[in-house]
Amino acid sequence: MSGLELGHDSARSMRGRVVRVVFAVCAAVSILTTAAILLTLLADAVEFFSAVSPIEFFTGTRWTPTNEPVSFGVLPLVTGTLVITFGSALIALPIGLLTAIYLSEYASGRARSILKPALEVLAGVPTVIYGYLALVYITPAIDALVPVSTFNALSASIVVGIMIIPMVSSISEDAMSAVPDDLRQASYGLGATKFTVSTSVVVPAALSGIVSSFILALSRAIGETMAVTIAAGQTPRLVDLTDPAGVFLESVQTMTAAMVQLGASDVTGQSIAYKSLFAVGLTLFAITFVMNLLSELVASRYREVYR
Amino acid sequence: MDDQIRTESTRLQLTGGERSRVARERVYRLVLFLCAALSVVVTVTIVVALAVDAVEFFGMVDPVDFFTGTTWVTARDQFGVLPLVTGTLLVTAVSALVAIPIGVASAIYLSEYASPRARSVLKPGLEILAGIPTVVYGYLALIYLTDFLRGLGLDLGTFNVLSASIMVGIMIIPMVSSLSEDAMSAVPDSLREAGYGLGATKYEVSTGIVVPAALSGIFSSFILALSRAIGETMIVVMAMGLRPRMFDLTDPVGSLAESGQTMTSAMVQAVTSDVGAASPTYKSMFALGLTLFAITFAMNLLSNAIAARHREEYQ
Repeated sequence: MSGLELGHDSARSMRGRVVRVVFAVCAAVSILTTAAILLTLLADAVEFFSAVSPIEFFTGTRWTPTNEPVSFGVLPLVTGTLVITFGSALIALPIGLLTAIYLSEYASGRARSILKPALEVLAGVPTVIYGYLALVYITPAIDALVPVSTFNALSASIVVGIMIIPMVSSISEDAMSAVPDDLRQASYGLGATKFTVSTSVVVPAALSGIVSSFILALSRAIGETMAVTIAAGQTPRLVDLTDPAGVFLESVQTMTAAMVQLGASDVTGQSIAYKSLFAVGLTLFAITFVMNLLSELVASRYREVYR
Repeated sequence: MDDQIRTESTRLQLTGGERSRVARERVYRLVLFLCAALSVVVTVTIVVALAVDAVEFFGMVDPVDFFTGTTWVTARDQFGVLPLVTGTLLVTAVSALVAIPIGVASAIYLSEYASPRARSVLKPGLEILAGIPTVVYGYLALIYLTDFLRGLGLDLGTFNVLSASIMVGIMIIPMVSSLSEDAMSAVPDSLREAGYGLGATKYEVSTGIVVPAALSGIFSSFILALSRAIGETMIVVMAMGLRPRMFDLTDPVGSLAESGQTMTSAMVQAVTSDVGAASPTYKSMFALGLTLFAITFAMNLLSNAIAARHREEYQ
């Protein structure tokens, strides 16, 4: 009888083990997929790099994959991506952070109940719509102030910036709401105003979450495709450091937009130009990966300092 | 007299200092409020801009035809949105079938079972998946996944719904797993300990206590992931083809093996095609955008309602 009971127990622990394996396999699926994606990208990139030297690719300053003379220098695309990322950061980081402070420290329940859904709507607008809005409304509006090209980095940066505001504000607000109230109360007890409490107590205490939100939002901006393809145009252009303002008024091409163009240019998938897509993809991937690692590092560095 | 003046001036200074401090606080508050209000203004502007163009479109095409029509052929001015809606729903349903079970099981593993070592491998892996640009997923679906599925004996077209949907599913796994894991990690340990104290196994604690307690967060993660799937553009443009097709209920497998078109890819097509900005084809993009927008908005509201309904039940 007791043996039976034990048997029952061991059946139960068997089941526990099986379940554990099932869960672990599910979790492993994501790792395997990630590895498989990396490998396929690598395999195609290696093929590309056997035709084009990596030095030429990473240091070249001209990107003309389909026109003569053919040249695969990725720098114009990298700088194009950086221009858009930088421009969108200028918009999204301050507005997002201030919005988060307002939501977490100042807003009444009523104000929150209007603001939060509005931010979620912004986050839910399909990126293709942002692209058209930039092209159809923002560019003409800018053109009325400063003459710009039909396709320009400025309006693309603005819409990408608007698009990533909700990411900055919602993640930062979560971090600020998690700051324990006794820190705030201690500061109020010393006679600090709400603004002093917000900027000198809450923001520093939530810094790791805020920095993570910045980095995640920026990787989203780097990987953004439709909005920049539609609004920034298809002109690979190395950023001219002597004329930083001019850069924003002209058309640029980002890595993602170049990939879309390459994919649309050739359906057979055999040409070197098509293969270059994977080299660009891998470069992009490396950049976002480094940014994600950075975000993890920052978050773990500051985590639980105030708990 | 002298005394009086002195008191007056002291009071003036005091109130003056207080007043400027209060005024400064008010300015700060106003600036913060304006930043927050900006997002509301932008949202409203976007909706209005879409609505204006959509109204123009509905001046050319009857809304009844638009919402009930079953043929989408812009070249022949047939604007029935249903094939695109069913295309979008099909992709969303299949990607949910892929992402929800794998995402939740991964979340349970990460939150309840995984050793710190396993977590340190899995979490970055998931983050890499989340960081891959969607354009890369699109090519992988078109070039590798379709071939792989054919290798399994499926009779698939070059562009097909199945591989696009599976890719979208893979793309949203990290959303489901990371948000669900956050919700599960937030379940207080005392609940788990009570379960163990009653002799429950780890599995029973996970599925009988942690998952129900974290249910609101888990549902929110589903809905957010599904709205991402609905709005996904690049993967479906590249891997699913551009043939609007009503979902055939009598032949579901056939529908998956063939090409299809979603609302997002129809929008891309409408704008990349060589038509004037005043043509109904171009304007149809805004009606589509508004429809899509309404769907994702409704899903976000649903997610909020569910989260609010179950919030803090266990805290």
